[in-house]
Amino acid sequence: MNPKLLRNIDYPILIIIILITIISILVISSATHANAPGGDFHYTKMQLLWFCLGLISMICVMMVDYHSIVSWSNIIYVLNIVGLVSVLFLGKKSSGAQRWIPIGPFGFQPSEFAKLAMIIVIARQLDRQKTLDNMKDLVPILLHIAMPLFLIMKQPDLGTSLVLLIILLGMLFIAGISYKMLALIIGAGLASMPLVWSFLKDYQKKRLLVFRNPNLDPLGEGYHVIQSKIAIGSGRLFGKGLFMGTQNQLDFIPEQHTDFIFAVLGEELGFLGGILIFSLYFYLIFRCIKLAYKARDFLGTYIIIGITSMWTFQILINIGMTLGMMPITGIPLPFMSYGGSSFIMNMMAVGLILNIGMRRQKILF
Amino acid sequence: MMVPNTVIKRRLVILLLFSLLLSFALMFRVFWIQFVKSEELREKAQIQWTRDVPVEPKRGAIYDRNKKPLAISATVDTVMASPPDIKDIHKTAKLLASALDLDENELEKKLDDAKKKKKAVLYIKRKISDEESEAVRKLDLDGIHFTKENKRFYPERNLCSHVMGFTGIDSQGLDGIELIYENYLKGTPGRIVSETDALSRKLPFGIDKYIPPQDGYDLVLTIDKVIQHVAERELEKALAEHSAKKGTIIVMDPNTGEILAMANKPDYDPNNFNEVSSKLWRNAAVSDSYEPGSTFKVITASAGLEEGVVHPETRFFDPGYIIVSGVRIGCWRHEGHGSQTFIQVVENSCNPGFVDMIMKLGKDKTIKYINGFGFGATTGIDLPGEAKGIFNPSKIGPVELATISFGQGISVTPIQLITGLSAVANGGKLVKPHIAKQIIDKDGNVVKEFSPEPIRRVISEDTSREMRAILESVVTNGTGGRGKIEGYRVAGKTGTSEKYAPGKYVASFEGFVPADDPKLVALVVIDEPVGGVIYGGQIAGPVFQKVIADSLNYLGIKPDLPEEEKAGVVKVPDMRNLYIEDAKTILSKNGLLSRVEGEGYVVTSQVPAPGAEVEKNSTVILKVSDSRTNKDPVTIPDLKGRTVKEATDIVNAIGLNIEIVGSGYAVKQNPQPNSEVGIGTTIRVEFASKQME
Repeated sequence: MNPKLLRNIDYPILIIIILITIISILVISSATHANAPGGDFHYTKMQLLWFCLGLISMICVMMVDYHSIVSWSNIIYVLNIVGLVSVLFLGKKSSGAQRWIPIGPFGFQPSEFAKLAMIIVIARQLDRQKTLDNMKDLVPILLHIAMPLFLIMKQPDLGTSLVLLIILLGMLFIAGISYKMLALIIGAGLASMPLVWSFLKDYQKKRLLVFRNPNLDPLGEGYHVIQSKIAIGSGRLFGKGLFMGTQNQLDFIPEQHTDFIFAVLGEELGFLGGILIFSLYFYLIFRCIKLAYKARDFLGTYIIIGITSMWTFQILINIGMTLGMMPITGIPLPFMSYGGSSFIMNMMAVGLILNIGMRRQKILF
Repeated sequence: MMVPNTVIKRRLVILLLFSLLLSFALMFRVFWIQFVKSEELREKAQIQWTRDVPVEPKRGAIYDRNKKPLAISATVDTVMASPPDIKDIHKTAKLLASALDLDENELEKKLDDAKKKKKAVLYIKRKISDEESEAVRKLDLDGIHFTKENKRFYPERNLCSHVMGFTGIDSQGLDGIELIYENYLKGTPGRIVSETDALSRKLPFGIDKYIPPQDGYDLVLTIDKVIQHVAERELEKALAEHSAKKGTIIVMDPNTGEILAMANKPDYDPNNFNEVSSKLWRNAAVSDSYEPGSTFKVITASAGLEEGVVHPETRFFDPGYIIVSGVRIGCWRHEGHGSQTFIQVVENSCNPGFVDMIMKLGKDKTIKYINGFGFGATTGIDLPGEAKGIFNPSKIGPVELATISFGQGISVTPIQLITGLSAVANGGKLVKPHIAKQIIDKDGNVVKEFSPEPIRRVISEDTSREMRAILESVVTNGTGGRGKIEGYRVAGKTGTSEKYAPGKYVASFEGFVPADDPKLVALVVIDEPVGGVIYGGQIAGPVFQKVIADSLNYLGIKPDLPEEEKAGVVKVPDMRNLYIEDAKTILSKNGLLSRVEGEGYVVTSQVPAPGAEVEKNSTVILKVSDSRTNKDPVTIPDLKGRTVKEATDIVNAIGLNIEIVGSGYAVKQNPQPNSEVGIGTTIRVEFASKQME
């Protein structure tokens, strides 16, 4: 690889990612009682492993010019569909949904990678598209996304489907879609809500109802939100200290190392911990948008904005959920939540962004 | 795609601002939860990781006036589960169900539910027997533990049940004195606070805090267990003898309003109050009203004397009837009593005489006195469910006024009547009847004393004195003859009223002793006696006589007549645990008479107590029983010289076991005579064929 490219790497992004990962590993240790008597550092070690694998994946992604990656879109698309279809047959059921393919002791989650795959596919399509002036121009894009969207909803994984739609929306926005069309799309989305509602499974409907009023089911679905708020609220300014949170250590916080990791952080590191993580995330988004701004071509901008939309939406939904502002969906917090598939996919996304960033200038020989 | 670069750049900035906005929104929300609502949430957190187990305080005991226990609380085990700690629900439920005689499936379901709901504690079975407790302890199950709770015991069983009332499963007073003095008896619960995790499992190093409960205060009643016992015994006998439906006796101190005995039959055992019809819980003495009949004449006569419309020597003529507003009211004696003084009118219980008197008194004055004596209103006695009786002044015409003079057309409760009679007897003051004497703490310090509460003066001292004399002559010369007690001056009045159902009567007798300085006042009401005799004098009179005679004897109130018979004073020997025939022989040697009560072979107690000084030819009551119900330690009798059969009978009768060695006559025993042992102890007795001493 050209040493000039190395010089162009956006190191702040790399540093932010490493910082968030360090916080993540500490909080995961606490959430899984790694230091409790009889506890082990299984999850901590695993997350470190994912981090290493993630770094390697990131470097791999960085080595290949993103134009080449985009040119493999068809293969990526097919692999994606194969993964999503196989999860329906080979997938392991957990809490009503089929999202995992067991590989040895691990679970592989194709829908995580689907997000990145679709960003690439849509970016290429947008780049090829001559106009984006009326609804007809949207048809090819919608055709691309329809199949994976359907498969993900079939699992069912409503959260990830929503992330896909938001990614699409973000990319369309940057691609210069008119506000009128944007309003039409959003309006159509809202209008189809009752239809979507009727397709929802009972547990999904319940989650949404409980979101409106957690006390409907304080020991069931509402329990998560209530417990999460109690944990965060009892943290206050400085928090109770790492490994010291009563609500976390006593298992009151549900899914504390995955979906509700922010509740543990809020309880043990307090408001200051929260500010720190918000700042890091915001700075990450800022750097990404800056790279999108400087990207050599629209293709790069689209990809970066696709990824940025994904992260922003996931952060909003996940943290909002732990604060009782959003309904419960199984969307992980990027770089924070425990989980191999999501972590590796996010690192690949970082790789893609850095890839675009370091090739922003025409290389002069 | 042809998007002008400026558009894309502008939109990137919009996107950036949008994400900044979202970040601020989330941060504000975190701020809100951590600072504005944090106090509330922190509290919630604390509640969650602490488990609070209440500790029941010990309910105060209830004693009679001599501190003999009537209700006590004993500590018993309650089995509890902390479902999250149970490992194998199926097995646990199976074992527990068989040990505690519960339904296995039901229990399993209960435990399962509780575990799912993360319930910290759950009652399995409360207040279990020692055997059950033993069985569960042997199982040694995870997540199953014991807590101490108090179970109420009424050692005297049926005795005084209507006054006592009873308590529910949470040791809360539900009826009677248990209900009225709930706040003093119940105490304050304590708590055990322990730290738990989300599944309510106790933390191994969690903090345990024990806040001890404050036990309830003890209550001392004005009831005297012995007098209560006498009253219940005589009442039961009378009901059996006359096949009566029910009956009530109240014995009271007329000067203080203290209730010494309050008995209703049939009654129930408050230890098992659930096993009888709730109708039996009703305390007729305060809750049931009836037409008092002639016993009410005490009240109207007092009113007439007080107002001066009659005096004891006022003469009346009774032709056998009297006409009021065209209605003919007859005398119980068809031919009439002819010419008689007012004293004789009362002695003869002559209705026309009373009608005559009340007509002179007039309606307004009559109402004033009836209300004055407390009729038509509750007496305020410290028992639940008191009735007011029926007395409606607005509905009184001349005929009603006439019948009220002899106690018809008015309904009263026994407690109202005896309270009114007390005022007549004690010098004219209406005193509130009461049943609680003292509230004491564990060390015996008096927390609250219930002193007599005079309500108002109803009649003057003079009128009271006149009434006492008149009522004494009712017993000596008139209808109250059956209430006579040898050696004492008794005042009394009979009553017989026909109920609205024809052929059904209420026979009653009320009276007080000594007539000149009343110490005891009593009322006996027998409802619906069956058979030839229905008159109060004949049915209730003897009951009154026996109850009061025994009470006077027991209280040591000396007879005031006749004084010349004070031949000699004897000490009452100790006859407890003696064979009944031997006791009788000893008594007759000492110049005392004996009366045996109960069934059995051996004397368990005696009245008067040993060592008391009584006149020669007094009667000593020997109580015999097979003492299986008696929980007190027993004194071992001297068995020397007894045959095997005699010794066995004696030992068994007082609730002990015997080990027989040899045959013939007892020569040796172990333990030695006069030592005290618990029920069920075995006594080894050696017998040998009769030999020289």
